[in-house]
Amino acid sequence: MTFSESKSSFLGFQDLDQKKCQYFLNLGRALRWAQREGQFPSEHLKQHCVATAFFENSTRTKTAFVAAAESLGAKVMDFSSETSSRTKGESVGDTLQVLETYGATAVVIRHSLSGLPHQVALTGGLPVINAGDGPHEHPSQALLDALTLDQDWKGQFMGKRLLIIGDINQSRVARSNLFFLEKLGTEVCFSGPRTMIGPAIEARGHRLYDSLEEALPEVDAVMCLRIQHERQGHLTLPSTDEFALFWGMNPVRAEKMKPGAPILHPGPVNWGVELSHEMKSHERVRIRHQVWNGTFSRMAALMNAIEPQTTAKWLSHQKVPEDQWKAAPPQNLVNSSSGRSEEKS
Amino acid sequence: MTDISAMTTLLIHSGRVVDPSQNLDGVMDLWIENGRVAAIDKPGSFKSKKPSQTVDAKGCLVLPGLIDAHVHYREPGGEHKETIATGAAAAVAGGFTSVACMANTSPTNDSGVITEKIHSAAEAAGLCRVFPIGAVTVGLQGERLAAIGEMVLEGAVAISDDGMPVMNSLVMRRAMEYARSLDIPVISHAEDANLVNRGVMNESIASFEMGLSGNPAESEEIMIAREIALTRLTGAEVHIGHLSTAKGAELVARAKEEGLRVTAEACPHHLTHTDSEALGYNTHCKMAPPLRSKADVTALQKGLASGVIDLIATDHAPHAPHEKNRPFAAAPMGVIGIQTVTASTYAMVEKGALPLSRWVEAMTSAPAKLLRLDAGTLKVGAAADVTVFDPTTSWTLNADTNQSKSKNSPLWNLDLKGRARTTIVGGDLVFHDNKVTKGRSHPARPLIQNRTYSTGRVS
Repeated sequence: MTFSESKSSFLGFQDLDQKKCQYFLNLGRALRWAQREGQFPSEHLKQHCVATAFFENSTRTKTAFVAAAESLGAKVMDFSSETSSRTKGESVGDTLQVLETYGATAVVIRHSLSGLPHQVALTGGLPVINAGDGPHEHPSQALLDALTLDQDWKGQFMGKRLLIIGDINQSRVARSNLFFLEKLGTEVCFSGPRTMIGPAIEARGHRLYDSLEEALPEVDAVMCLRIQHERQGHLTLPSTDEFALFWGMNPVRAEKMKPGAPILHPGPVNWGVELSHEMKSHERVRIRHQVWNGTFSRMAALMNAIEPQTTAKWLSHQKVPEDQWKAAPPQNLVNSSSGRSEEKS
Repeated sequence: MTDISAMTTLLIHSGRVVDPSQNLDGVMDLWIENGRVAAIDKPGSFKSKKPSQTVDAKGCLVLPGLIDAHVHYREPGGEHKETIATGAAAAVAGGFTSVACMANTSPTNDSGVITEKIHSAAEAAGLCRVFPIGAVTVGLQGERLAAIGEMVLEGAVAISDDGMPVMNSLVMRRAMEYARSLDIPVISHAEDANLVNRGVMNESIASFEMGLSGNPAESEEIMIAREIALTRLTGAEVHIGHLSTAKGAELVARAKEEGLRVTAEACPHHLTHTDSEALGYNTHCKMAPPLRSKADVTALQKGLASGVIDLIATDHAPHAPHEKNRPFAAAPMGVIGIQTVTASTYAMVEKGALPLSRWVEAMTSAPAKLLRLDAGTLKVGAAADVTVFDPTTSWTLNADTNQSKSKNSPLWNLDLKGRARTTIVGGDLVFHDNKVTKGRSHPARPLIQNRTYSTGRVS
């Protein structure tokens, strides 16, 4: 049994097959559609208490998991690492045991070390949802990215090409997106300084573009990763300015992209580095859509980890239409100048 | 808009044109128009034309303008040794139309600002083209990457911490990766600084007898092995500067057989002198890496002939007389050589140890290829950078002929055979019969092969 299959934990897409990945995509789509038009399962996790155990900082992921759990009827128990007994040296395992004792029936973990949620899932008693383990995986992010691409790609993943730009070596967003999308038939390629993209990428068979200019006309979407310059001690880049010069997205580069190809960023954005300041209101940028889709991806993660059977049953009863990808975020979430043409239909 | 009366033409006739880039070797006439090679044809082909200027190249070799991929011009910060202007004068007096200058100036060329300053000074000098090589690390400290991308955008053609090795292998790995992303080579000063152990000459019986600390050949071998391993890991292009050892040449040969992107250069002093020249504490024979053994010299000559060593570069390193006039151990490392390199290396051609076309290639198309320049060729349309070399003339490097501000040459006042008689840059005669004539500005940047980035920066 692999790590990912222990109980019904949501640990990552590395070991999941095409069928399972497709299932998660469908589940996310159904939740997105159901929130507006279908029967939203607002009591699906009524019996449960979801503990968030974040050993690393987070704004969007943690908030989204809390909101998702509550919207599905669960109670939420929050754990904050800096104010806990972790500072007294208490281990992660002991910490989680305490949460379980006080009623947690599932735990959402973010940690700086790769594999920690996987190890906990094997040894502990609760289903584990991985909210980010070091540079390894961030599966709920990959799912929300896919739900966002779903909208510009009109439901088609097979044969599409996604370009991921930036600090690939350190990125769990890159890895989870890669593991998820390649199973759906999407080709993932990369660009950025080779100080941040090691030889394993090309050895694994992926195209690495040294020149961003060369890549842009050939891809159907671009994903810009955050540059974690401080972590590298000036060895991966002379400066963030240089990253912006050669691999930052700006309006001139955006022009070179295929019509209809969107730009994604997991956030938080270093404006002026990965995206120039002029990109803040650029019509290709889908940041707010990503955040909106994040609620559905977290709901899908929680539902499948905590109630796998009833979730599958719920999904099978949903009559999700073919054009479900047209679902638009509420107007107040989207800058009106960056709306897509579908929203008018 | 073109003022026809200003169109300049130049005829170079009766010389033996040797251009390996086009497999050309024969007596031909060369017609130059507006700074570009317009035509090459049988002698007499341009008899009917009326050129603005004529050069009689009878008895001479007519070559693509020579390129020296490794010089030290001491500007900014070391102008008492050499300025860009005096260094460029020495270059054209040596037959060179292009040089690449290293970054160990003061301040270091580790930013776009200094790179631009070098271009400006070279353009103002109006002599040869000068291509800056940027530093690998800030201040050559070996710790943080220099502003490599900025320097490339300002027209740097490679990076090197030459003068020093990059000792930290992770730093070198990152530098190679970044250089590969920007498609420039990394030039390695391949010495293990710890093993060099302040050695001032080759570690040998001679260094023992002279009581001088020795720098073993292994210090170079180890570093070359490391650079080769790193280029295998990163796929970057590494160029070994001033190769001086037989073992080093062997490693380069094997790396090339493996298909790795490794190239190498040799300096004239390492190709012709052994460490015994330093006997007598002659500081004009002190440089880094030091002169080595007879076996090393033989291996280097063989390597150059076979192409294992791709090019000849001088490592022209001026130091003022008061600096070299110090006890051997205290004198700075380096010798000048850009005016004498053709004479000292042509001797190998005469002896039959080096094919003529290889000799020419090593100073034309090979350095052009390394630095990705549209240079080192006399193809029609190329910039009219031409060297007219007289292989038979006898001369000496002395106060009358020396253009460098410094005099630290091992060949000073010795009899030399073979000399550039005329040097032409962009169609301008900048050197002829021992006289340097400042011409128009000859920018280097237009010859750098084009790479475009939509940086979003207002240019």
